[in-house]
Amino acid sequence: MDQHLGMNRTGIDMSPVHSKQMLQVDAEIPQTTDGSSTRAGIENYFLENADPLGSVPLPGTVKGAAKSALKMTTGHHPEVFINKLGERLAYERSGVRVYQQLIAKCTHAADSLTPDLPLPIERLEEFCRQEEEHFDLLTQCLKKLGADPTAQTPDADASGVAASGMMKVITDPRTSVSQCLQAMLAIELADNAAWELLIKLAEDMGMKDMAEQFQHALQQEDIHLREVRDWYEKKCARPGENLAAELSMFC
Amino acid sequence: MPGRPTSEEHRAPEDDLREHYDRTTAAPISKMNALTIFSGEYQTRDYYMNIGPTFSDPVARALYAEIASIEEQHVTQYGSIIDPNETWLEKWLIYEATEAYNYYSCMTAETNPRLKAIWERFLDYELGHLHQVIELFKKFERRDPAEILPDKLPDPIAFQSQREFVRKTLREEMALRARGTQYVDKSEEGPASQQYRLQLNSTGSPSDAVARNYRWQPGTELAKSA
Repeated sequence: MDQHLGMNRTGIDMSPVHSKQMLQVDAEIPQTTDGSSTRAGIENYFLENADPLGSVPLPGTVKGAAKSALKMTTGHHPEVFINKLGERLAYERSGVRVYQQLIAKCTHAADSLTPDLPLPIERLEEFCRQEEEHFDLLTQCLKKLGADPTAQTPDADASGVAASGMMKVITDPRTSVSQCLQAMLAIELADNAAWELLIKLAEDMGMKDMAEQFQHALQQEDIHLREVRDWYEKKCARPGENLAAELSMFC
Repeated sequence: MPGRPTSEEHRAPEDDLREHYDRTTAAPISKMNALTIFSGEYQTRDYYMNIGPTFSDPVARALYAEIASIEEQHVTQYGSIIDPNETWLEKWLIYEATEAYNYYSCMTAETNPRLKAIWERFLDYELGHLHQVIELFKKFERRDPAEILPDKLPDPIAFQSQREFVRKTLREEMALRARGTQYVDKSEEGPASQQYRLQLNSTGSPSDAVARNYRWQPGTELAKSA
């Protein structure tokens, strides 16, 4: 399922005669009509006139508003912190979903006769649970700050769009476990970097308890990253081998 | 060979309509051809209108909006060649016949047995619909469907290379423009469409911007120097 030689017709070498004809361009075809429009012209217009990608919601509670105002006066930026907490919250929610999808794919692979053999399911389930714990942690942190954990912050929006391609790879029934692991690796790499940043922001805000809790989450994410990378590398090096038994030794 | 740039295709609404066929004298195949091209244009227009807004790149959005406006002209043009005096049930009958005819054409042309079976199944569905409407036509209009439907199915649409036909059409018709309901030479185009185009293109045209300096290259333009 992973890789096989087949009738891939996407390359130009598939049709040497027609490709020569395709490259013969009729001199009469104008490369430009009036010359007044350029891509950059359109892009610049929209760049100059674009609205921002939403806004960070105002704290919904008096306590939260008071805290935010206090921090603003001391040079801190609670709106940046809330924006990033919201982003992390959305990302961890996606994390639960991608692990659920990967578990479904690996469970199916284990039941089928295809050579694309599965990863240790229990380990994936554990990672999935941890992603959910992180989601709960972030929900509590946002509530503590008087912010609304159900709001989509601007960075949550952008990061959701960025991750949507990864999600497509993992949910596509045609993709192999190895291809999914490549997407998982990108997800976990970004996840790790984002937790590191969040710890710095929490420390900067003077939220020591939160910083410590985030540190614990980062340690778990670090293990996710290491193992996903390891599975991916093994899958690429030895496609078709059952890694579940061997990898379960790590669990 | 060169075609007509999109930016030159815009025209004033009064130049979009054509004379419709006469429902009493037009051959059934002409009615089915009109519906086929009308439906094809509708599908294309809906495609550009639906997919364009899913892009975040403003150039792609603008390009799709521009092409959609051309497709809108085509929908209007081909919608207008259908006789508006047909009754609703008469139209329905021709629609079902046209769908059956299109699936029949696909089925005939398809060589892959798996896909051929799909077309055949759809043809069966459409024939079922056609018979349903034939009954409704008889019941409510008290007319004979044979006065609308052809005696036998016309030759199927030829799904094969039409390059020569396209080249010939381009050669002979590229300089044509519309004026009122008629096609005229570019030199006789009315002021309405010229004015309309000037206004629409006054701040440039997305298709011009995208086509500017573009030449197809296998592996994209970045592979040129490799």
